Amino acid sequence: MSGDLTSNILLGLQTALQPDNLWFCFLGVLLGTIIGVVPGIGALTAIAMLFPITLHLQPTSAIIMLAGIFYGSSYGGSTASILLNVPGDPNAAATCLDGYPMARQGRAGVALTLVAGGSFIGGSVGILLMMAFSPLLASLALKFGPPEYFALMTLGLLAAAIISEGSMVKGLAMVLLGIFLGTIGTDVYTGIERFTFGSPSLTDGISMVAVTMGLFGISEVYATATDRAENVARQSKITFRSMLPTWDDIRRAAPAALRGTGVGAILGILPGAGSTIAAFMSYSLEKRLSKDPSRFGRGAVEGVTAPEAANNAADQTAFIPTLTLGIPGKPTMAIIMGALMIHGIQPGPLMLTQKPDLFWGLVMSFWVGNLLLLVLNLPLIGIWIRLLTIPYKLLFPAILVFICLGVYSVNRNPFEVWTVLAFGGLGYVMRLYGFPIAALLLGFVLGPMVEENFRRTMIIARGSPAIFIERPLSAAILVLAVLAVGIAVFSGLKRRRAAFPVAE
Amino acid sequence: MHRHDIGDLAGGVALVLFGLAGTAYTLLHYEVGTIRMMGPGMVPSCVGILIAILGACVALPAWSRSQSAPKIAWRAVIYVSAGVAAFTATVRSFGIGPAIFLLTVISARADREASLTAVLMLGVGLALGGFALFRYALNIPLPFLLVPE
Repeated sequence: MSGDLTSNILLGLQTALQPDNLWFCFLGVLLGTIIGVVPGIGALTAIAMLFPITLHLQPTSAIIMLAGIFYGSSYGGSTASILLNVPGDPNAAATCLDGYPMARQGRAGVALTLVAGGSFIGGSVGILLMMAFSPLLASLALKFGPPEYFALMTLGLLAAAIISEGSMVKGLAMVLLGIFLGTIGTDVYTGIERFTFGSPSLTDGISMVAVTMGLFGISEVYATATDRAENVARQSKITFRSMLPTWDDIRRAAPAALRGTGVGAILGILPGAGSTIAAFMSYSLEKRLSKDPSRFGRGAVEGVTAPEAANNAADQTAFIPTLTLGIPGKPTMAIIMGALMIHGIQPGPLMLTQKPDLFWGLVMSFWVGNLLLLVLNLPLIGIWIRLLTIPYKLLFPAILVFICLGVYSVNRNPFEVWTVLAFGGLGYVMRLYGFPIAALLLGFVLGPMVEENFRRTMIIARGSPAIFIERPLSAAILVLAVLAVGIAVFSGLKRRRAAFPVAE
Repeated sequence: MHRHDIGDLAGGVALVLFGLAGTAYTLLHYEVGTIRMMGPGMVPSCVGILIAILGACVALPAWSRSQSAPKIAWRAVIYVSAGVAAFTATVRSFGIGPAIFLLTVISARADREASLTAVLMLGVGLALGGFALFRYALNIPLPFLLVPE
């Protein structure tokens, strides 16, 4: 399977360079950059907002565009971090720490260049890893049966619950709530309609598009529509000359970018982790490795390059488990996987052999997209800076229009727009009271598969749950899951004990 | 400051109620089956019970912990919801033009300082722009204006 890497690459290039796919890749990274630059609208909102549009395209173009929006927005997110000290995307929060001080020293242009360079390195290595490991992982996954899949999904969902902000109990509760909501619709085994209350709009379950847009789109607008300080860009003019880093900058930044890439690539594959954590971890790694840690927070170039390389590497490697195992580790990946499923494509090990043009086309489009981003970001930076000055009061109605039209255009069913509204309210309340939204979405997307694999396992095992520990692979995965929960509980207790004297 | 952590308390109680109601509804309407051949009711009823248990775990400690409740942005919630509701209620019979206009004009009021002229202009602009974007850039034709019978 891995022997014909060259022919796979050629097939991928052929697919990615088709004019249609090229256009949608460009459109994706362009929209992603625009949305990423605008502070407050993160990659998740961006994908949620634009998700329905891609459902009208060919599956390959759709996924290429969706992926472009995703990594484009994390590329663009750093611009606002540097110029406004407001991250355009949560991923770029770590970039504020040294990026904004650089801007105050009049080195915003250099910071932007280093970010683009670091992102490109991180992204490229991430793609290379994806090309190397996906076929291996997929051929391993071909040996998986329902028990292994059940174990893997349990691991993924537990990890999502543990890592989510707020308490682990809340995270678990939200995962389960998501699974419950996922059972709505026709039961695949018996054909019985569950919780549809006779409504034909619910026979196929609650629309994932509507859930996503409500949870991440509308709730975001609720949270930000009224009180949003107007943006004032610090440095509105950036000349080409001011963007050239000095030799000393490059000497410091290049190894930092490589270390950041390493941190990001590993964290990207793990379920639940994600690029924001990767960015902060690589930032603190740089600070620890530095001979003079006091430079950090005052415009150290390493502090800008490393997190950006890390979050871009993580963005790319996150696709590996999603596409080869069919198990998304984070909400953005859940959306991408949901989009594939709506197009009738089941992500997983078989996808690589049955739809090689889609898989390799997507991978090669990452190269195209990353190159396009480099071109889009460096010379056109002036345009993005001007975007920062659009007042939010004009933006949020436009976001709403996009969400409503997008959802409505999928099935022309007003019921789905009502669903968006309901989930928007739910998402807003959850956000206010610290119940993790991401965990709910992951539970909702994975829920039906968890149920199916569990029921299938029980049929195979004649009702004996011992099968999960009798099969070495599923046992190993479940041990990992138990360990993860154990570590989380233990470190949570330790932290609470440590925090008490301070609170007293 | 409240004497309890209102958010966790209310959220936990809501989860307990949802879990119990979900399980009860499942048991009344769907066959549970055996562990070997599960019916449609098995997974939802078990998940419902787990949700209720976890809800209790969220709510109980919240009783003896005080936490100030976060402020809900009522103005945004009301105007944005009303705007989306207006869109949803009108889009099928009047077309996307009037629906977007209503959505924009109502939801833009969430911003206190929005002037009426600016809001009306934004409404017209987004209605035309949204239609054009979907029709020409994305090739998704949606009817702009419909006259209900």
